[in-house]
Amino acid sequence: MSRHYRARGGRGTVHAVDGVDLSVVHGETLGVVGESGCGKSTLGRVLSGLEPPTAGQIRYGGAPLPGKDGAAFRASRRRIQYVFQHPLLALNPRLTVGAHVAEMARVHGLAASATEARRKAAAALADVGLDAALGARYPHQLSGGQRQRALLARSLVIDPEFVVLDEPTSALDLSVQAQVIELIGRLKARRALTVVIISHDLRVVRVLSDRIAVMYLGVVVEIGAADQVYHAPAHPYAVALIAALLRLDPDAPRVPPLEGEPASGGDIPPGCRFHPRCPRAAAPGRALEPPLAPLPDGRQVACHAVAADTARAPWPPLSAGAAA
Amino acid sequence: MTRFILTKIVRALLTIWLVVTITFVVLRLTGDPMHSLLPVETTPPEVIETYRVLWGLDRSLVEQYVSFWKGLFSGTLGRSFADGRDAVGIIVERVPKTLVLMGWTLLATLLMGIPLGALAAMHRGRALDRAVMAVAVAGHSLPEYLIGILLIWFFAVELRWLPSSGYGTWAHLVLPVATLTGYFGAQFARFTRSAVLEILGQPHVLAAHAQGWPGRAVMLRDVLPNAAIPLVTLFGFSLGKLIAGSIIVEWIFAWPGIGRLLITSVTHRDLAIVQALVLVFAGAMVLANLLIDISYVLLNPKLRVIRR
Repeated sequence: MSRHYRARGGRGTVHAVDGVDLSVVHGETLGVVGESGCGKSTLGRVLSGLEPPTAGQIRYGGAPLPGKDGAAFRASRRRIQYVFQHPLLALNPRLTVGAHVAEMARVHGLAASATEARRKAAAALADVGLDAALGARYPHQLSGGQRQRALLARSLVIDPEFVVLDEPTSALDLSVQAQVIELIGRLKARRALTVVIISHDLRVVRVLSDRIAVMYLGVVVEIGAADQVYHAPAHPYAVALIAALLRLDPDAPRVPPLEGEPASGGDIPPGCRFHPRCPRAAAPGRALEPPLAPLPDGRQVACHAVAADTARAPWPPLSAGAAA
Repeated sequence: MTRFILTKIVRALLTIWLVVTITFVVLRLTGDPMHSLLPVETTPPEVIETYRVLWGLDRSLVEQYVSFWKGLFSGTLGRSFADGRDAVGIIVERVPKTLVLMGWTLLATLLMGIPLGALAAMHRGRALDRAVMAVAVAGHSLPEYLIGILLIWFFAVELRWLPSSGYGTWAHLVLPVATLTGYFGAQFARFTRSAVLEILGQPHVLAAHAQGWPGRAVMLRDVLPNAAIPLVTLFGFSLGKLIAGSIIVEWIFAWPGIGRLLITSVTHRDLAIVQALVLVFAGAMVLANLLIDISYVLLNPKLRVIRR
C-alpha cells in the first residue's frame, strides 16, 4: 500500500507511505514507531480508512474498506475507530465531554433515548477512569490526561473491533503517560480489541504491543515480535533508534547517534533510502532498495547488510548478542 | 456574570455621557445657529436677540448644559428650532421607520450572507465559490450611494418596476433594503466563508467524520456553531455601520427616518434635534455592543467561569 501527496505548489510528489505491506491479526496489538515525518500517522489514517491509498488496497476482514464519505463508510466506523492525536484539537470546543460520548452512542444507534445515551456515556467515562461529574465539563476545562481519557471513551463507547491510536501519549506529562499506557493496556485486554498504536516513543509501543513495525521514510524497515525488535534490533536504523533511548545500564554497548537529517518524503535517496545516514552502508545499498526479507527468527528486515550477515554467519548474528 | 454585566452597563453609561457632552460643546462652539435659521443680513438685531433668548443661546455654555440635563431627566430634549415642535415627539415618530429599514436589512443580510458564505466554503475553489465571492467582493467594494443609484437607474428608471424614492408600501422598501443588503450581505458572506473554512480545517471536524457522523450533522454540530463566534463580532460592528449606512440610504431614497432627519437638522443647525439624535444613536450603539458582549459569553464556553 502507498499513499502519496502532491507537494505544495503542485511540484513533485511526497511519498508519505511508499509500499507498505502488512497485516494486523485479530486481537493483536501492532506498534508503529519512527521519527517525525516517517509516514506513521499517514499509515494509520489509511489503515483506518480515513484516507484512500494512492496505490494498493486495505482489506478489513477480507473485504476492501469503503472510501470516505457515504453510508458504507459511516457504517464501518461502528467497527473501526481512529483516535486522533492532540486531544484538545480533536474535541469540539462547544460540546461537553459527556455530550461527545453520549452523541457517539446515539449516532451509531446504540442508544434509543437520550437518557440511555447518557447512561452509556457515564459508563464509558467510568471505564476510562473519568469521574461522572467531569462529563459536564468542556474540553478546555480538563487536564491533558483527562482529555486523552475522554477521547478514548468517545471511541470505545460503541465497542469497536479495531482501533488506531495515533500518538496517544505525546501530549502528556511523563507521569500521566504511564497512567494512560496502563489504561490502554487494561482496556484492550478486557475488550479483545485489535489495536494499532502509532508513536515516536519506542517505550510506549513496546509496553503495549505484541509486534513492532519500525518505519523510516515511508517504508517498514523492520517488523517482528516486540521483544525481539526492542532487545535485539537488526536494521541499523532500528539499532540507532533503540540505542538513543536512555537506559539504566552502564555496560550497554554504545552506538554512536545517527548523523545527518532524515531526507523528506519528497526527495527520497535512490537505493536503500537509509544509506546516506547508515553506519553499515555499502555498495549494494547505494544502488538497490533492499526488500523486506524474513530472518530465521521470524521477523522481517529490509537491509542488505543484515541479509548478508544472515547468509554468511551462523545464526544468531552479532547484534542479537544483547538479548542473550 | 452579574458583576460582568454591571461593569459593562456602567461603562456604557459613561460612553453615552461622553458622546452627548462632546456633541453638546462642539455644536455650540462651531457657529451661531442664528446664521442658518434667520437671514442675518436682513433681520433686525432685536429679532435675532429675541430668538437667542427664546432658545436659551444667550446663556453661558455651563448654564445651557445644566438645563439640558435637567430637561433630559424630566423627559424633554427641547424644541426644534425650525418648527418649534417637541424634539422627542419628532424623533419618536421617525424611529420606527428607520427600524423597519434596519430590521429588514439585517434579516436579509443574515438569511443571504450566512448560507451563501457557508456554501462557498463547502465548495471552496469551485465555480459556486468563485461566483459567490465575485458578487460579494463587488457588493463590499461599491459604496452604498453607488449601489443605490445603480439600482434606481435599473429598477426604477429602466424597468419601471419599483418606486425610486418615498415611503409607504412594500415596494418602497425593496430598493433601500437591497442597497444596504448589497453591502452587508456581501460582508457577511465573505466573513462566513473564511470562518467556516477555518473551522473545516480543524482536527475535531475530521474527527467527527472519522467517528461516523453524516456530513450535514458535522456542519450543524461541529462547523457552524464554532464559526458563529467571529460572526457575532462582525454583527456588532455591522450595527454601527448600518446606522451610518441608513443615513446615506435614507437620503438617497427620501426615506423619512432619523437618518434623513439628522442630515436636515445638521444643515439647519437645529441643535435640539441634533442633540437628541446623537443621544439616540449613541444609545443604540452602546446597547448593541452590550448585547454582543453578553452573547459572546453565551456562545463561547471558554469565556464562562466554571460554577462548582
